[in-house]
Amino acid sequence: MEVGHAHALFEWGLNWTIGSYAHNFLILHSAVVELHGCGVLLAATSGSGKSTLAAELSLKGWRLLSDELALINSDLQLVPCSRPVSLKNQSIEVIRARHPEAIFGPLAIATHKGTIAHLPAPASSVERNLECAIPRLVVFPKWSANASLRLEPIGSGQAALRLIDQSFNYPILGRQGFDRLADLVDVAEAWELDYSSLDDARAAVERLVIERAQ
Amino acid sequence: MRNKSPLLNLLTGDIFVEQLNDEEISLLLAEARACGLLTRIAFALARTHGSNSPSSHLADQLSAATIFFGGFKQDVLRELSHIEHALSNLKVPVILLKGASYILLDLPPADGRIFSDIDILVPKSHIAAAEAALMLGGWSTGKLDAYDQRYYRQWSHEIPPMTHLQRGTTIDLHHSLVMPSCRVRVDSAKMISDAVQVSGGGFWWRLKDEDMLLHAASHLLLNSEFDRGLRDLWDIDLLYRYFSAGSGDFPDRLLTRAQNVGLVHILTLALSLASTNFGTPLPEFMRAEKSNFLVRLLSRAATTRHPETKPKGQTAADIALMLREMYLRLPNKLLAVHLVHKLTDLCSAPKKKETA
Repeated sequence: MEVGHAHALFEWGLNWTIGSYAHNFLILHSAVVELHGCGVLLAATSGSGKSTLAAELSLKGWRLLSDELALINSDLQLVPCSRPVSLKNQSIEVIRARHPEAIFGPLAIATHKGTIAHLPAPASSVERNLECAIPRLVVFPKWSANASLRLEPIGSGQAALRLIDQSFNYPILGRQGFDRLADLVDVAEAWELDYSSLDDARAAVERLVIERAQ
Repeated sequence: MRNKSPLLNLLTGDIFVEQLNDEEISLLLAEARACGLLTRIAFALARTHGSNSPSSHLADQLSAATIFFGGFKQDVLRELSHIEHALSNLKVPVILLKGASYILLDLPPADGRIFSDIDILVPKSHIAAAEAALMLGGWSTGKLDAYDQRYYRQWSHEIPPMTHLQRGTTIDLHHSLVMPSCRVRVDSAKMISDAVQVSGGGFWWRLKDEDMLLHAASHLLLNSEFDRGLRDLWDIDLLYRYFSAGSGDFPDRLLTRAQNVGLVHILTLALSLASTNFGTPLPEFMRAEKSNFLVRLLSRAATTRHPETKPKGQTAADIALMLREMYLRLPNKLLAVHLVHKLTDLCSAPKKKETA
């Protein structure tokens, strides 16, 4: 084990601990951000660019609740878990180039997920770490090179099935898990977002939020 | 004098959870996790405190543990129905043992008891048929080296663990309650032949009350899985209290049965350890003599396992007890073979790691 991987392992250890023990929450593998009182889940598998998009949004004034874990309590609120965003491989350079002022933690090179760097959560997000958000949108982002922007709504059933795939503890919660997930897709519209440009993706998600605020 | 373990003090009733500060609660949770008792503690505190937990952090941890256990219990019940389906044509009683039987029978030790395998037993004559039926159901023993195959097939009281290819669940299929070669001569056959059908006339059979407790005791004291030792002692305490409350002559019947199947020493040892940790209300004739060497070893091992609170000499006690287990399980010739094999394994293990 590499000493230089310690901070990355620590972060994964924290994720593991939450995923293994915090069953008061329905836990989904998803970034969570908020703008104008709209909580947005960015739910996707690893490598689809959800952390990069979450980092971009948080550097553009969105509130960051988590880049990795959506914690949904029994009142269907999103519980913040404000911690540094974990960026991998090319994402590190992408964010560094777009935001030269951003501070990064030390690189963890050649981990089993590649190179990792951590971007601090905005101080304003950390300050609000005890304040829950209301889920209003579920977005399934998918980055691929040269993709043109595509933003399409998907049905709540379809969204629920995809979220089950992204859940850490859905089977453990049993009936409660099903009910909470069904309520979630009931109150939060689901959209698919394909993109290659972070500017386009941010503009698209901001438009969705602004249409729904008020 | 009180020791510094919040877990042990809580279990003996020397302190109440309300008296713990945040540091001690944190240590209590860590200790409970280290010996597999977090979910059990959650049930015990819910019984004594209802939903009025003294600290909201503790309450969150306990409710999460309770939710986890709910999912676990569902999984076990579903797995039992899969096993029942797979073995439905076996034509012999299939006895459910230990953790899964506590859940099926809704016995007190079921509450918050997490375990990794489902233990079932069929007569030795039907082991091959049961194994074949389980294989058709998707369970497989996987690859074992020749030595382990022989250890299980020739010497052991169970066949190699069978893991389900899709669900990853594990069954331990037994034909005896202890190793047939065990130096403690236990009349396992008598306990098996006196098993009873679970009421309601269903598929499953169970050991009778006394034998269920005797099996829990022999499992704890003839194996060396002491990382779950405190939980197993608690099971024994809970079973003893429950069966005694149901029938006043249970302690007498238990002792008589232990005499008949060769488990008196094991029983009195287990009960006195349970009593030390959980205050099990024992009649005088059940108490083992204190201050013997084995009791001292066992009370160092079957206790809290957390680095901050474990007793001095726990590792030494674990090793001594593991050697005792091997000695008890195997006659001299087999013991020599087994030790040589394990030592060779141990010496070659680091090399394997380097190449990996």
